[in-house]
Amino acid sequence: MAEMRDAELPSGSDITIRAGWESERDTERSKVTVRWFAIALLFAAILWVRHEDPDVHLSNRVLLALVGGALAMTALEAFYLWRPGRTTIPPFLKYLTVFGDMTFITVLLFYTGYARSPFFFVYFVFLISNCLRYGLLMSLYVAALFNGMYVLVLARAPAGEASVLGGEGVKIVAFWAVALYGGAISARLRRQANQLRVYEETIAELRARLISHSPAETGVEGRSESNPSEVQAVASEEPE
Amino acid sequence: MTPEERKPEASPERGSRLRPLRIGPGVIRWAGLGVVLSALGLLLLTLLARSPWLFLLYPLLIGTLLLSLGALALALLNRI
Repeated sequence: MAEMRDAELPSGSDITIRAGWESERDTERSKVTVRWFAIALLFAAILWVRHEDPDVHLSNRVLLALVGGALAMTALEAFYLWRPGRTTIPPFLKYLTVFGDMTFITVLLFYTGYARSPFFFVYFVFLISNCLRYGLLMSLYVAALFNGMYVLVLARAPAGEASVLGGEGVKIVAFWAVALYGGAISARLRRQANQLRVYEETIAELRARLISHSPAETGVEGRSESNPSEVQAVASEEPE
Repeated sequence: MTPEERKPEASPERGSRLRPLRIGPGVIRWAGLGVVLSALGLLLLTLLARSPWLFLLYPLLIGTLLLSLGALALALLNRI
């Protein structure tokens, strides 16, 4: 496996798989990278919607404040995550950034038609993205945040702003259903990935043991610990 | 160390410390009641709610429904 070729093979029992398994810092970094593109994409979409739909009243000041705020938050997080020596991040950071993202999406909905906003689907994209990255707990957190924030939007909407689906309750229930189902699937995938990681660590540990014991047992000379092809050769010599 | 050894549930010592699950008929009754009431509440809320603030009850109802379903499933599986 490719990950195994990159695996560190220490002499002791401390086995570390360096490649193939993303840390929370790396996940947050990739989210920051995606967020730059998402901001640009949404900015273009807002401009187009504002031009096409006369019902959308979004002033330049609000638009700049929204985009500027999103850019500032992303830049701040990028500065924090890419600082030299930053290897771990506090566990609450992901919840904080998700809260910030959800706030921006909610403000966007508020200024682009409340329940009829064409940007409602962004909530779903955001849910699936975080649900796949972080699992069931995060998807429940996103669903709860959405529930609260969307109620705020609905409460501020003018009377008679009905949803095209017939009821806002259906939309909220649908969101919860997607969150629960996606979270459950994600939890299963993460469990399987974790089992695979344990197997890879075991294989790496066994390889390390094989390297440390093989010269005396097999009598092959000139074998080096840093050459994986020789390790495979030793493994093939061992009886099953 | 093999993967089986690393898994906590594979350890016999750990398993022996766990008390056997005792689920009486009261659990099934309460869990069933929780499932029915929360499902009914969800349905009524979705169909009849006029104020958006009422939608804040969704997390409570969905949480109750999931917990009741989980308890009911555990209880029924334990009886089989």
